[in-house]
Amino acid sequence: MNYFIDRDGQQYGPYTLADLQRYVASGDILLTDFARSEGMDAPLPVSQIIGTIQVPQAPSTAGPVSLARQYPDPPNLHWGLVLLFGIISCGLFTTAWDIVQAVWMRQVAPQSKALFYYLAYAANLVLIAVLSAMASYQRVHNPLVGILNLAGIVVLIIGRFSLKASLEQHYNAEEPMGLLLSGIMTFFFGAVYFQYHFNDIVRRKDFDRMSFIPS
Amino acid sequence: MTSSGRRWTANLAVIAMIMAGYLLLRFPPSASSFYPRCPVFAWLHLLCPGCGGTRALAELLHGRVAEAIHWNAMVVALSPLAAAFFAVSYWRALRSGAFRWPTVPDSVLKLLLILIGVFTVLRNIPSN
Repeated sequence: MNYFIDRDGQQYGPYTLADLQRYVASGDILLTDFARSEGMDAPLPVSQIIGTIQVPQAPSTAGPVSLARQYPDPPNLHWGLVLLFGIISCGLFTTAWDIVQAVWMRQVAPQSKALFYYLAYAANLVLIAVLSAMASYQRVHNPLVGILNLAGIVVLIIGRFSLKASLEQHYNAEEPMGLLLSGIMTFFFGAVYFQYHFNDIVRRKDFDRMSFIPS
Repeated sequence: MTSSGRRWTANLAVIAMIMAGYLLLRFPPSASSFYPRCPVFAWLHLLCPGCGGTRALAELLHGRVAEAIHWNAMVVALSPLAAAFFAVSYWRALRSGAFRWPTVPDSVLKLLLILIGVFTVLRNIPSN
């Protein structure tokens, strides 16, 4: 039987009972989350569904392992380094890393639009630099620069939420890993926040791959 | 990404760095106006940890270490580490087989981030 998790108005899944137990153990799904299956009238707390049923772990790893081999791993630079390089480069490295993440997303989910927004943001930055230089050379104030700055921020935020949606879609359907991303963290931390989850995803996939190696 | 695609990307990144270095040498930020302003300083009038970093790198490329430290001591201190990190990354990208970014211990990263926080606070305290 497959289960779906309802959280913040969104639905994630499907998960097997073994998946639910594994994600509860890893903290990705909370016992207080609500879940339902095809045969249930109303959702129930996860705690009531998994109860004390013991499910063998071996079958649950077979699915993710076989799927994990079909898609490339996300970029796995440590999130702390993304933050560090972003800080010392005044955000330029983060802009480049946004594009790296979005390029990978396009590889695993070609319908993802995040790359388009991030490239538009980068192009906007170049345009702002050129206009600023021209205004500075002519010793005038160009009000268009301020408008472009604001537009750039809007495009960047749209890109972040587009990537968030693509990630959640991918890691709850094609490669079910129970990924739930916070809107607030996405808004404020973008690439660094996604990278934190990428590191975790690669760690879990590595673990699955290692545990699948016959002894 | 395939091995050839990875090598292509790595070489492109090196070419971009060389071009950026040439730009800094040929058009130093102290004499050129086209470099983007730090948005943190522009909007909040606070020195972020990266403020002055471009000028510091330009001074470093000219061999003027003292001036570079004056503009941004943290960027000067971290430059050799960053250069080593990217050199190892580039070397690994050129090799065949699966690519792995060089790892840095969590404790070192946390220490660096704390030091950056302290540096940011200190550089925003008025000197007089």
